[in-house]
Amino acid sequence: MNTARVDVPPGGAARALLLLSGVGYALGGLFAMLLRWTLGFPASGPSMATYGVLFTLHGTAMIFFALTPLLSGLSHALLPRWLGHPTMASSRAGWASFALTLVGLGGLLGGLALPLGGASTGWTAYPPLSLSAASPSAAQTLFSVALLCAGLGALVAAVNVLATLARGARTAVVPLAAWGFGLSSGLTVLFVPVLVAAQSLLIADRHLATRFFAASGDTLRYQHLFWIFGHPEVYALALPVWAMVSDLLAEHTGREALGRRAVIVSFCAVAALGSLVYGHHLFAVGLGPLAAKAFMTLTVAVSVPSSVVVLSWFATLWGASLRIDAALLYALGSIELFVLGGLTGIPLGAVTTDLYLHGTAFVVGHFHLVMASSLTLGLCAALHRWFPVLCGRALSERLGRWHATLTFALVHVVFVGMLGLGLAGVPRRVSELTWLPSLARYAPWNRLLSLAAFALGVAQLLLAWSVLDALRRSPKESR
Amino acid sequence: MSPEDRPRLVALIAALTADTMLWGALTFVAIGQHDVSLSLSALACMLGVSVWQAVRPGRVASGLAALTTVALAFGLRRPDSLVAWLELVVWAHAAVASVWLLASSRGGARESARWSARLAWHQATALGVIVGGGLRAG
Repeated sequence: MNTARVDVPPGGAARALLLLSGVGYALGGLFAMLLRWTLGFPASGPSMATYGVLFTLHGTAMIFFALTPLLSGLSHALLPRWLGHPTMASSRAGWASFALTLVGLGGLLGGLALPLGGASTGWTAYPPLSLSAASPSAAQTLFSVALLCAGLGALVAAVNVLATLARGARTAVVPLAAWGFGLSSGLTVLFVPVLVAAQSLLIADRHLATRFFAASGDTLRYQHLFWIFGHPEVYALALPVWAMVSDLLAEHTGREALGRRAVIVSFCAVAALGSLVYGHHLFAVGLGPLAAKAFMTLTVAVSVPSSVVVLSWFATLWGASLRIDAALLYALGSIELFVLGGLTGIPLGAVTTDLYLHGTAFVVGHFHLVMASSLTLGLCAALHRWFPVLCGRALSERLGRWHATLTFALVHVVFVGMLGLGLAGVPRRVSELTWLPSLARYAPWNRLLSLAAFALGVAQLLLAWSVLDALRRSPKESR
Repeated sequence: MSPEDRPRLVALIAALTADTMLWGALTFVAIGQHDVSLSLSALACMLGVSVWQAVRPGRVASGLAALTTVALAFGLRRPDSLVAWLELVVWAHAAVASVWLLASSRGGARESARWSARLAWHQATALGVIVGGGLRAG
């Protein structure tokens, strides 16, 4: 299936967003390595206080400054080409999104230079921990400003994507990825403003002496707002990647994605249901039996349209004569990890099992299998497929295969290992297991996971080298 | 509607939806100090009414009347609280925002500037009321 009918070079804003996401990934990865150093080797690694800062920065950098601008950049680079238009609806909006995200990243990192250190509340910044009494550093305010700016940046890009889609397509075939980006933008428009509102009120509580979330107010209200945004955000990031994987499989098998219409309906159903399930993040706070049952049912219901997408992938691959290249390796890895991550999400969507697992490393393993592993491999597949369009040069096939294979193997060791530790009761957000004698015996496992994580970090240098090498070569030299 | 107008209208509806969600979330917190289900229903009404107004601009006046009635109905349930006034202000904001967005897309620069000024005033008022509620709770 040829979806690239019109030769449209990507705009400067798209390239800037992609470059920014590269910086976000590098920073998020660096913070992850430091985290694993603390977890694996607490005696020599950063202190417990620094650990809190590191996991806050890691999560925030990866979600808001790596994944989000990467998807915005890809949509701004590829949508005009897919739809047969010379540009996006607004070229300024792309630059505005880049500028806002850049300011946000500056705010996030700027906090590190302040006397009391960076924000250390986790990417969720729940009050009362994030209020002035517990977090007096101005870095916590900068953190909220960073989320605010990054959120607005994503919002501007999403409006631009929707306006561009509204122009209609001049091409014969619109790839599924256009649907993915459209639905993702719809979710962004609906739910990112809720995050912006929450951060605005949090700043008011910190600096204007209001009591929206302060001790005398209701701290749970913030958690509602955060997850009203937070869970749909998962699907806003996932849908374009799933759609690009579908398109890649169709290209590699030489036939249309099987059940294309059913897949589109399933994407819409995932977006709709995914907007209604945020309450499963709050089971542990005691939502009440009716709300808990409703959220549990809706959460499990998301697996139905998700399964249709997976079945379409399998059916498209079935019996096809495949040309296995790096892009397909990444895509296949992404599918396996999505299935694994999805299955481990079921016990977290059920109240009874979630209450046991909620505070454990199982949750970390689950969302890293979905977000850090499946989505990243899917995005690597898209990067390999579309890099020649983005930069006029191809990425190294050999390095891509090595990177796909190593990453696929190592994410299983690291994140499946976390699932195991979580099942054993190892808590998340704790840097040293020696504080409880019953947990001390898991310290060697943490060390092993850290060593695997370091190897995973080193493996990412293959991709970085591949990108830099491709950019260094002139288009003619490129394969 | 011509194909050239479509991206602009979609962008306007998207911006309006985002704006409504933003103010809906702020109201959710402000009203949520009293009644979460009330604020959720307020949110749903705001979104529905605002998008409807944007799509069918000819019925803005009736939409405004409808939402004011609903707001009053909710407000009458709690006449002793700040809730009714908060809802009125913020819901009216959503209505003004939608009218502004449509007017600025059709009128000239002067009309757009006038509506921008009204919207700015309205947003400042709504934010003032909400922050005031937070201060009062403190």
